[in-house]
Amino acid sequence: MRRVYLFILFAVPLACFSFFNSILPTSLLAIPELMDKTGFVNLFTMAFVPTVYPAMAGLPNVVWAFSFIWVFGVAFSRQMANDFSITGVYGFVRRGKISVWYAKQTGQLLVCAFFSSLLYIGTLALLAFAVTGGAEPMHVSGIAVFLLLYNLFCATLLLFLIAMAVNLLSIRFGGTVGLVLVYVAVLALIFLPLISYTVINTQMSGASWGYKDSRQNTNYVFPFPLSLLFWLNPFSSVIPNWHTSPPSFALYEYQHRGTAFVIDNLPKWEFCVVLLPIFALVAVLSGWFFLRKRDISLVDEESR
Amino acid sequence: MNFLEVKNLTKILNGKAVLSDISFSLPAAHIYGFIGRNGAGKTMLFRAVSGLIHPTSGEVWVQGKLLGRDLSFPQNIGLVIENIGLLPEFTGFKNLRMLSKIKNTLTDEQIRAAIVRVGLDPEDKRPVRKYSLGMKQRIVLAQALMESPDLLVLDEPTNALDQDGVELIRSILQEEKARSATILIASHSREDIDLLCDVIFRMDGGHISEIIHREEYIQGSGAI
Repeated sequence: MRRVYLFILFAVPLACFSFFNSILPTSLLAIPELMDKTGFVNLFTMAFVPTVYPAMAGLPNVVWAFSFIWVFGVAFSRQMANDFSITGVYGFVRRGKISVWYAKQTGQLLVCAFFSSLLYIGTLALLAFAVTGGAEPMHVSGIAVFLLLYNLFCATLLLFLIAMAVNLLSIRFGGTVGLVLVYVAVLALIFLPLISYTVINTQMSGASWGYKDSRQNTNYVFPFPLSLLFWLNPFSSVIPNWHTSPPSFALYEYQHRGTAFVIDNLPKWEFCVVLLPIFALVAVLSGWFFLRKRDISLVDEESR
Repeated sequence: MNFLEVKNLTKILNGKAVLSDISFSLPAAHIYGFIGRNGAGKTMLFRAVSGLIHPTSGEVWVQGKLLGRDLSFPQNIGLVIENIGLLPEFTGFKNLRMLSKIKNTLTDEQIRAAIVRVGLDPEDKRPVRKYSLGMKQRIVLAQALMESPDLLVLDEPTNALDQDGVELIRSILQEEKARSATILIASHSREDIDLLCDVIFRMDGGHISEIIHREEYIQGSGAI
């Protein structure tokens, strides 16, 4: 429980920083925009992931979002590994079957990831209402609800993936190696698609910021197999240009073409509703195959 | 059916056979001693029997169930592994309570009784990290005993205990044996082995070099 309280203690201020960074006068979203029919979703899109606007303008939001992911990792990403360490031995042997323990641990990580994402998104929503003073009814359309839920879905699975990776690497290598390795990888995976903007815009002078143009340009600038770095990057799901994935792409198209485009594109395989669950399933299965024959970490004084 | 059966158990770590083709069958309700010099494989054998390590080859059957297939760990086991303690930032009672919540079969009173049984104070507010070595050993023994396990695997159970503590633990183990628990002890204490064990296994280089039955030892025909 102490870990949960510490997480809330850090996560709520981070959400606040992200919100106020989004609505500062010098920033990109004005308070009156929160009253717009997509304003609420714009807020979440900007505050959680800088997907709509150019990379440098959204850089502070990258910092807040990454900090939130870091805090989550520090709070929850060693749950499984602690049981597998020396201090967990006497608890571990009481559990009977490893499969039951593993199912419970992965379930708990998924729940933690969900409620953490909900806390962040919920804080943003509450602040939006508080800042506008409820002066006018906020226009929360069907597409806004859909995009919010989809973001919650993406954020939950991303946090879950990170937590699983840290836990499994910590079991394998011990200590904080897992945490450091995974977060270096997360940083690289976040900035990889962002850096691609610079490359694309440099090489394709005159190309617009439109998503369709960018996707076509991207395939030209980063041909197969290099493009796999971006297509298989789970963070590309929430950063535009690589997947036709809400909120970025769908939001942009919704603003220009309305609901019809989003509904038409829902069945498309490129939507990250397919990719993120596949990544999560691979992580769970990999973890199971790795753990089921793993010796519990013990210090053997006699073998030194 | 024997309570514990080990069949051709081998464990190789870093290219070295730490356990080498070990086989034995143990009926229930006896105390079995394992002796040998450092590095003989006693602790590794106990880890294998507890399910903490997976054999490279061979099988461990506990109460008719195969570890690694039917069960990951023996169903009702009390374990003490040398140099492994409890969570240092919590009190002894809190540690045992957290462990008891896993199976959820004990009341707080029963946990307190287990702590009193090993000669400690259940109301002691100090965290385990402030315990003496002897107290840490006692609280670890309490966690092994508190759920009345069918199998007790105790690696150096009287380590760091004073004479009163040693005699207390010996009497507890005799009570557990009378309760029909099966007890495996690894010890460097000749006295512990002499006084407690019904069968003694001498280990050397990862295999069992000699098996001595208590009757033989008392009659003078066996040597430890």
